Amino acid sequence: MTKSLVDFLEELDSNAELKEAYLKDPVATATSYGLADADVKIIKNKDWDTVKSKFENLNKDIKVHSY
Amino acid sequence: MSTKQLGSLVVVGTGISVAGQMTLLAQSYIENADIVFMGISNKIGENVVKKLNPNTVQLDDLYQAGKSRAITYQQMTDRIVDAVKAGQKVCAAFYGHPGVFVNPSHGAIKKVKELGLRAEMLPGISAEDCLIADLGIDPAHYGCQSYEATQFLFRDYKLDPHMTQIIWQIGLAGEASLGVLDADHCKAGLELYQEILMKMYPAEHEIILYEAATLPLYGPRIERFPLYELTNCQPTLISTLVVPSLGLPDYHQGRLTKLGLTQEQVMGYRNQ
Repeated sequence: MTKSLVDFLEELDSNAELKEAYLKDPVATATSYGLADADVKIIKNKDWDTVKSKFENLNKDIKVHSY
Repeated sequence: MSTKQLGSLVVVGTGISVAGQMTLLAQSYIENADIVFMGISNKIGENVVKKLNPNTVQLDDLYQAGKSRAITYQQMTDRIVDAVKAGQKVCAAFYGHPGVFVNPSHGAIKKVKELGLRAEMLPGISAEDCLIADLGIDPAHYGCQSYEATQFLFRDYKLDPHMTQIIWQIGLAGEASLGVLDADHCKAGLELYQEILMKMYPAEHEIILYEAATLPLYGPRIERFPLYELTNCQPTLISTLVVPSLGLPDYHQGRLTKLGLTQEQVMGYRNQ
């Protein structure tokens, strides 16, 4: 069964074994995790802008400090 | 006899990355809260918090284009405090360290304490913590000056080039309106920074544009270039400018004498 990119990102950030595997071979790790082909392609192409546009919203960033 | 629950507030940080930098205690406070307010800039991080406690409320609906951030932050503070006043056990979760570059967290804690109710902030992993790890800079080595880019330009601060300079929000340098949320208006600010820094550092002095990794798919952004190239860099809203130290300053002979020491003695102790 296909797993979501959201789950992959969460686990990648909290599972040392998965992280080490990803650092060695990102595409193989994403594939064996069960990501959909489109998500594996994002990782293969290092298309981080697409990932950021999906999940980040820096235009509403709480961390922007008023001088 | 009915006893009404007294409201309380615990402010926690979720770290800079999406899941792995949240402390066990922060997770527990999120799980056990009646309501969780979220100031988290990515959906994965929000998802992690929602799994711990489904009763979450986002704060980012209060942003509006052109509206001053000062007003937005006040409204966020009021929203959090109102929930505490209503007798709820409130947790406010902000990404990074909740007390670093976050205005409503401090504001809400102050107001709740003024009401005589319990309020506490738990530390979290900040962008500065990531910077220290990624760049291998120990702030204790040369000392460190760390400041917000625009505030430094607007005020009469003194820069010590012997200390590491950590200049936050370089992508907003010189932006005065508080209504801009992009890094497209910092050209004049970068030019002014270059002018200031060139008076204290060689033009070839290597400086660093840094961004912590916010997603675990990739590493941090670390761009090293000479100071004379500063105006050509392309910062984003999360960029930080790091200016490494020129090295330790000379010993202060007067202070050493008052302490009954000599430079040779101190150097001897250091080399033991």
